Amino acid sequence: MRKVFIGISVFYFTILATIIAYFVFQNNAKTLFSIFFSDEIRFAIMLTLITSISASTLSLILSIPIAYSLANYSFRGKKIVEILTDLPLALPPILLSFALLIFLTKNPVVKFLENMGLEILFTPYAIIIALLLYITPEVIKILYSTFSTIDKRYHMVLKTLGYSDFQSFLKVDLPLSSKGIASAFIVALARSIGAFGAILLVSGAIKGKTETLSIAIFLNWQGGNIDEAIAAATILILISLILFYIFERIKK
Amino acid sequence: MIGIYDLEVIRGGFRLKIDKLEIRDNEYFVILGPSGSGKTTLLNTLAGFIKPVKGNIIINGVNVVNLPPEKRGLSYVFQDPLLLPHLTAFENILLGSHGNVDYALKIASHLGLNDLLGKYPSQLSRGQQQKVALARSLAYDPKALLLDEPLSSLDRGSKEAIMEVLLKLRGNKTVIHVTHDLAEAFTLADRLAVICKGKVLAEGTPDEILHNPPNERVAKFLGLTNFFKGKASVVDADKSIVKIDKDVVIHVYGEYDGEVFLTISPSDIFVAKTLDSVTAANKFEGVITKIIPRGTIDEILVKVGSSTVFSVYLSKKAVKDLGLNVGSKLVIAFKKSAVVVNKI
Repeated sequence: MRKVFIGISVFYFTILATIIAYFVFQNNAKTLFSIFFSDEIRFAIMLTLITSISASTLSLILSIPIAYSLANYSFRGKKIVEILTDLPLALPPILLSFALLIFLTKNPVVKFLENMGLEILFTPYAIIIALLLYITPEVIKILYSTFSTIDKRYHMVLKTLGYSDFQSFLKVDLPLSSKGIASAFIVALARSIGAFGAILLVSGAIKGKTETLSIAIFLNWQGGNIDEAIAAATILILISLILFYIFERIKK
Repeated sequence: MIGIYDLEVIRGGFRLKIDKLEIRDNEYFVILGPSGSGKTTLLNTLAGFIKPVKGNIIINGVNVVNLPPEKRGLSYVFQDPLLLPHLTAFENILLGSHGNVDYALKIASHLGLNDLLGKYPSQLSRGQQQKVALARSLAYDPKALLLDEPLSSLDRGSKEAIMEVLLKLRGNKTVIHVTHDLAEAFTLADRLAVICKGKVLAEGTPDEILHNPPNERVAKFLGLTNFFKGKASVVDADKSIVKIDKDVVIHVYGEYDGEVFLTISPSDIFVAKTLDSVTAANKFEGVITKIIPRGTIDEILVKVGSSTVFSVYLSKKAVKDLGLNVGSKLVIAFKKSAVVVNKI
């Protein structure tokens, strides 16, 4: 059995590696280098990193209290919160983007902000909001399982030593879940960097304005600039590889 | 002083009801009971983790029943040490002293932990971890220390080491210690309460409880033998008889009338060959039904009359010299003064 199972694994990863390698070796080192330093791709890299880091950070700030509540408190409507948390995981990312597009077009508060001069739709802000909605369910899931493994009696001990709920959260839960929080951040970052469907409609896919790396692949492919598309894709692969290397290190 | 008055706690189908229980300052108070008796529920209620349906808990004159655990000033040591794994032993103790380094060091050295302070919990034995947990709780300088079976997950060596620490606390700290272990309870307690099915069955010093168990349930739980129920009547000044069976009547000191419980320690009963050779007031002919080895001695069960069974402790040598076997006939005897009488 061992040989067969390992054989299947080797087969699968050989095919995957071949596809990626075949793709990456389409690059001509010289063109890759020049495209890498082209204004368009540099902008795409920066925009991707800024929107991804912002969305991941915001998502953590939002997810820590949500996941902590789900893991530690029982409250009315908890089951509904759990279902709503999981729901976006089952929906296609483009649906999220579409729903957000409708919301940003029709909502009076958004309209008011636009009148005040704060444009959201088809700007990097819209990308950050879309990414936040896209990655948060998964971040909550990771943090929930992290917080759930912490023995609740630690809180009882800290309370009988005179510490408040919040102090015991700072002294027990944050340090004991630091690995989980770091993992959640890396996963959020990786998902954000590669996101396409979730941001496509709200970003408007505007060259030089809302062009992240994944949108750069799409726009260049659509425009017939295959070299640029492959270069953008190669950079995405590199960034993902680095992130998952860090992820593995954190797990250890 | 800690006073528990008219307390009622309901957890699912379980009900804990305590009319009055007072723990004096610096007293080592043990709550003894079998598992499921409600002793941990009582401790958690005292600590503030469970809200009682009714009743008051007064600590040094203040009713704390509506205060959260962090405002009650009682620290808690669990069966598991629960040291924070990312902190060293000393940092864990500092957590108790809220950063007061001098006090933490004082407690650590009092408990003999000086060599372990820089180590992480994973580098300590279970017993050492529990010692650090005790130090952490003491470093908080609590009004009372609550201990929930603190010795039950330890091996024998560690148990003795922690026992030493706990003995040091006697007279210096108010301690409420919950356990199911009789030896632990009777070694440590200044006073103890026996609790069963959510009710306090007995309360007193170890001596009082051991020698005057108030009823059969306590006696059974304490593993006391020769505990009989009977009907007493006065025969003379300071002399009564108790009929415990249709053919067994026991002579006792004191004037008793009506239903009573009798306890006779198995080591206060002696044996003889014939009735004439004995002068004690209580003497019966009986048959050995069982011999149970108990370390250096044997426990001999002797059936007297139709259904009364006495337990007698004899040295193995005596059993051998007297040639006693199951089925042997013999005489058992004990003095009036050996019988402890309790009114029902």
